[in-house]
Amino acid sequence: MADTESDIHKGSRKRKSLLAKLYDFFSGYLLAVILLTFLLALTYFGTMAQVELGLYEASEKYFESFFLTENIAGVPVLLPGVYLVSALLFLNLTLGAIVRVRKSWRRPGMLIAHSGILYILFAGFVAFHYTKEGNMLLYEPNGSDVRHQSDEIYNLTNWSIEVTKYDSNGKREFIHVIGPDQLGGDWEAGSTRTYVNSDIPFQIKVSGYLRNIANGKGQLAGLLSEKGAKDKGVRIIEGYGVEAVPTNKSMEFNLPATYIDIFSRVGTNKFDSESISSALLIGSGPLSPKPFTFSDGDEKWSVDLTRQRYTLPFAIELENFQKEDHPGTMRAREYSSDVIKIDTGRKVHISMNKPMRDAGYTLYQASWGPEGARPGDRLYTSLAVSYNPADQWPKYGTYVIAIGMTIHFVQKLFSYLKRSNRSRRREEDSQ
Amino acid sequence: MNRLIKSIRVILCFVFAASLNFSAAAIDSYKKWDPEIVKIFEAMPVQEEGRLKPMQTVARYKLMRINNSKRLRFEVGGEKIKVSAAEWLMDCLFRPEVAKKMPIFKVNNPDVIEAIGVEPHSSPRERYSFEEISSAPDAMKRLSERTGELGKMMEDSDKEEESKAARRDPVNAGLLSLKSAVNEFEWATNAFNFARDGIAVDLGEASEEFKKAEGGKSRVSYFLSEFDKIIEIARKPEGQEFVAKISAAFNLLERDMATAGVKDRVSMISLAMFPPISDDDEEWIKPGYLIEQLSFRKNELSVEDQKKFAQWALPKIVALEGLTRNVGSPSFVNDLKALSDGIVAKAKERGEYKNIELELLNNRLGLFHWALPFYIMAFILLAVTWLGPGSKISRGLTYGVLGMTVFATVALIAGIYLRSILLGRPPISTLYETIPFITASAVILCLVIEFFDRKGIALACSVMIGIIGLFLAMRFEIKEARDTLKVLEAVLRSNFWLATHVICINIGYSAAILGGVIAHLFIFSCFFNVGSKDFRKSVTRMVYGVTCFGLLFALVGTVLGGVWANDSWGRFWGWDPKENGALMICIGAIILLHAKMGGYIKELGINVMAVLILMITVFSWWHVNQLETGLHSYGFTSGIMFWLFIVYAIESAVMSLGLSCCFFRFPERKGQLGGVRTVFSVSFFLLAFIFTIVFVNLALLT
Amino acid sequence: MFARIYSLSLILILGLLGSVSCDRAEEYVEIKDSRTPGRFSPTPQLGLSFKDRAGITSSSNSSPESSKVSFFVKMIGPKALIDGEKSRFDAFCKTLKVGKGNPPFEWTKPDEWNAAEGTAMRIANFNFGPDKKGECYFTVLPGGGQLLANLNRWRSQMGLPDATPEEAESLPSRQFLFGDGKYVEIEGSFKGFGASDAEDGYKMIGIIMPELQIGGPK
Repeated sequence: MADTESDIHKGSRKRKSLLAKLYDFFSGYLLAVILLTFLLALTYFGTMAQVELGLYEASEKYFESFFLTENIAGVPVLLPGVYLVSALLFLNLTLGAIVRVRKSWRRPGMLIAHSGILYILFAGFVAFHYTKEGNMLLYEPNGSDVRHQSDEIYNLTNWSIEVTKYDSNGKREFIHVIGPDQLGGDWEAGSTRTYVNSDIPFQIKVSGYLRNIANGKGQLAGLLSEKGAKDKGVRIIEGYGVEAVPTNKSMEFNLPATYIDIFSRVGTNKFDSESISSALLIGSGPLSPKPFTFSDGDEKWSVDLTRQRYTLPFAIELENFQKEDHPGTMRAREYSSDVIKIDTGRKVHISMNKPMRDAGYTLYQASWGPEGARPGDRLYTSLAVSYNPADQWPKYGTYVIAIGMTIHFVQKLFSYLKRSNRSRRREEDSQ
Repeated sequence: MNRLIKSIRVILCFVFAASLNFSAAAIDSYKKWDPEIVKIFEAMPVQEEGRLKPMQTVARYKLMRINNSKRLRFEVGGEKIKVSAAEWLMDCLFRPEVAKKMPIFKVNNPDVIEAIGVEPHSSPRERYSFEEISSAPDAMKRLSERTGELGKMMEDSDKEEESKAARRDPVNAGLLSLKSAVNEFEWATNAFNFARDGIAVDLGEASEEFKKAEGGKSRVSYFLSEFDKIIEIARKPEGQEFVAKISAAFNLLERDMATAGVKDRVSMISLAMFPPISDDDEEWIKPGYLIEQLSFRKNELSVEDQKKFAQWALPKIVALEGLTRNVGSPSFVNDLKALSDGIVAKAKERGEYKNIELELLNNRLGLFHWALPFYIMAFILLAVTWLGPGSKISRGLTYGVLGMTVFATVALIAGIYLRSILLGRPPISTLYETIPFITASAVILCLVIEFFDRKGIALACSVMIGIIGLFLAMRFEIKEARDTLKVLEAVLRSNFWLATHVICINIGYSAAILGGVIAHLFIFSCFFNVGSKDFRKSVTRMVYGVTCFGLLFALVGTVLGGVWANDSWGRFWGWDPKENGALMICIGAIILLHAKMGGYIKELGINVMAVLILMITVFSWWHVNQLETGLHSYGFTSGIMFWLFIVYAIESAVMSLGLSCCFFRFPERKGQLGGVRTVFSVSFFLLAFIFTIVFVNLALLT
Repeated sequence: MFARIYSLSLILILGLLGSVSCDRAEEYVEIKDSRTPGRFSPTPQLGLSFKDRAGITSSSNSSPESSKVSFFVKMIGPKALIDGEKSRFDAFCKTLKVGKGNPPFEWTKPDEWNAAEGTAMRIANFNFGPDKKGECYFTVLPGGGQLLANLNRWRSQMGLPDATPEEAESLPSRQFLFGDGKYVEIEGSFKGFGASDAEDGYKMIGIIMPELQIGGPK
């Protein structure tokens, strides 16, 4: 690779067109070194920022962004985000190490290793954009109780608003989801977002969205009584108002709240100016959804601020959950769940480091609860579920990298040894 | 600044330790335990932190938590006395009045001891005895109050920042550690109170039906065996008076029971020294549990089981009563042997004893502590060879150095191997275990390099790394003061991944550190203008080779870590601090290789970069664990930030030395360099220089 | 995540349009995502007031947990036996009051019952009937949790599934100690602490008085 670089440098630099110059730059070592240096600095900043911001917000700021500003010694500096740097690195790697490099069968190591890295970068890209992840809580069977079954997972960090339509029997018919992508971002004071869909006979105006109203102990510290809300000039619905509480570093402990107003549809794109219903929503728990319900004409609807949920294409039932501590301690030695995939009857033993893979989904033994349970208490298992098309790719990528680098460095070592042997022999000869 | 002065003081004390006079000897006589007794006691199995281990190990770490050392030294009437950890624990259990007089609590900061109203000693090396602290008026009360407030603050999740700041205060930190040492000590001296003192009520006086009593006291064993009768009398209509008499006894029994440890799985402080009654049960039994099950929780069992349990448990309590009441009598050794033989036989039957003997061997050999003096001797010999390079003697001595290094390394590897066997898992899974492993692999790597390139450079590095690594391991063990042989959390219990990912990453760390260490030679050789061009060339070649080697392992290890994470909690990469640290090492090495290939750095640049990678590795290995965030939470160790900043400051200084060579040592090359490069090298130099100052400041501020 | 970037840009554009048309920050967003309800997912509780949705109960915002105490009296045994002892249970409950002693309670033992010694948990403890199969005891727990949690704890001991909050609230009240307790009557199979097999045909009656404020903050 070094040869190619210098060839081009020495050769025809003067005559080059702008396009060729650009190509040189994008495939060159200089860009690689610059990008890697940025990556190094960003990884450092992002690691240190986790102390203040927590993992979720630090990742958002440094690792999932295009640009960010960082205060370095008090001076704000605009930096590219890891997402942008990785994309450029991908380009640089493709052009420099795969397209442009002189391919030789005698020296395949670096080509193989670089392809492996490209593969992993690509896997990261796919995983970042297409992964769905969440958790599933299943209580262990208890006496004559029926086994706990589930086909739904909820995300620990992302929140959404679910707009659900019910049939005449009160059963859920269909759920429209205002996802975290539409609900997230900055909510400046006084800003509102109005959500519409042609299948929904009303529009939902969301205002005063707060990322967190709970304190570290899980109490609703931001919930104001009528009097408190009045004093602070906060909107009151059903005798309560809310104000923001500083967000917790661990994203899963944050509890959002928001005000909503419902406006009936009067034409294809026209809505009543008077709201038919208003509510204060507080993020609801995963196991017992308690949505805000209202009727629009004859139809029954509900709106729920909930952790983002996904419906799985299959259902799981917990047959048994085992937990074993190291003797005389509260330190878990092992815990595992025996589950059954209901539709096919497939039985799987899920334990630490041994997930269940099915229909593109992977189910992991994540944790158990409730916290501080004593012997004899009814426990639940918490399974982490993820859908990731690139699930196993990094593993293959690792093999490729390891093989490539080993070939390359072993070849280098041998040629070095040959050289030093020769020079030693020369020395001996001259003596 | 205080910190610096203090550490200088500590070092000075270290140097002059021999000439110091231990004036305040609180203890006036000490009778050594019979070695035979100690031998039996040391080998008794105890379950602690989820693992069955010899009493010796338990005693060592208990003493270390209080005293920062594995043995106790003090003077009685001008005679220097050494007490091993097991002997000390026996003093606590069987002769608490002696143990309370021994100078044992180490308080470096006189402000701490003054804060609770105790007269400070003139030298921080002089320890305080329990009696000295407890006899000062209100000292114990003040200690509990101050630490209680801090504890409350720590529990309040809304006061996290405040509590962190409060704990950073040196006096508060000192009080907290003194409090935990006092607790540990008090537990040990009170653990067998129930057996020694009995219950302060004369049952015979309380009711006609009881006859056995000793001077107004009843033995616990008797009280427990008559428990049913006591309850029966108390329940009778005329029992009112009787209840009033024995209710104090119940309170005492409850307290003693708690001190001796019930089966609550939380208190790690009592001795789980009896194998359980059922062979299926894995949890060993603390004496307090016997009392609890024979009294307050008796009715949880069926009548038949109650009988069975009493038959099993009462002799154990009687045995402890016999021991605690006959200390110093000739029968003590036989009683202890009988008790120990019973326990050991049961443990053997349960198949749990085989590792106890191995662990005793491991404790006795102390292989890591053994290797250190050999590395030091090797270093001294090496220094001698530098006096007359090339001479016949020095060549001979070099073989000596090599021999000693190999010998020490073999001891090191044997130590790692022995630990691995004891725990039945690959050699690394805790922060402590990374230290000997990284040291060993760096030393081996050096020896391999030395085999190819016989210039003595790598050999010198290997000796240095051996000394630094083992010294670090020793200090860390004392700092943690917890048994370093640990059982693992469920997620870590995968021998496959421990053997692949963890080993790869740690070999990566060791190569990255080694590269940085060798690069120092180049920078010093440049700056002080010693050594030939050839020397520098081979150093650079080594640095480059080691970095490539390290990159291979670090990169594969990092990605394997992701694959493991993907298998255990469903994401390949989560930007966890420890993951990021490993990634940074890889990126650093990749930058070095690409900058070299692009022709942006030459010899000097490679070496300076290697030092930077060394800094990143230190960051990833130690600093990341201090951030108190993230999943790899196996080692938050407080109080090492100071040393980290010192290391950073030194390495930044080395880098600025190296970079200064650009225009100070090779001014003739200036013309060649070109404008842009000069600007870069000057600004990099300034950057490294500024960082040196920043890190020195940070170190002084912690 | 593609959707996220796409919609963010959509929000941006709409936001820009919005800011052009009027001064307030008002955005219009098209809802795109949807899902079908899971077959086994928990059914939402409909028609709740804000207080119920947010889980605000009168007790939870009044004081910290530490000064609250829950009281329980419980009788359990074979169904026939328990039915026969009901009157004595009522009589015992009526005599139970705050008094001298530690813990500070007094009571009169029904003559037919045998006193068993109290434990840390059981302040008054009796057994009765053939083989002492019937048990009755009075318990005080600091904190102790809310009514529903306690009810479900008892129900699970009798091998029954959890009750809903409505069921818990609709339990009959019974004068007990210093206030109204909730009266519980459950039949099922009993699985005692540490027992391996459940015994069928058991009955449990009891009174739950959850989280009573004692003393109050000064």
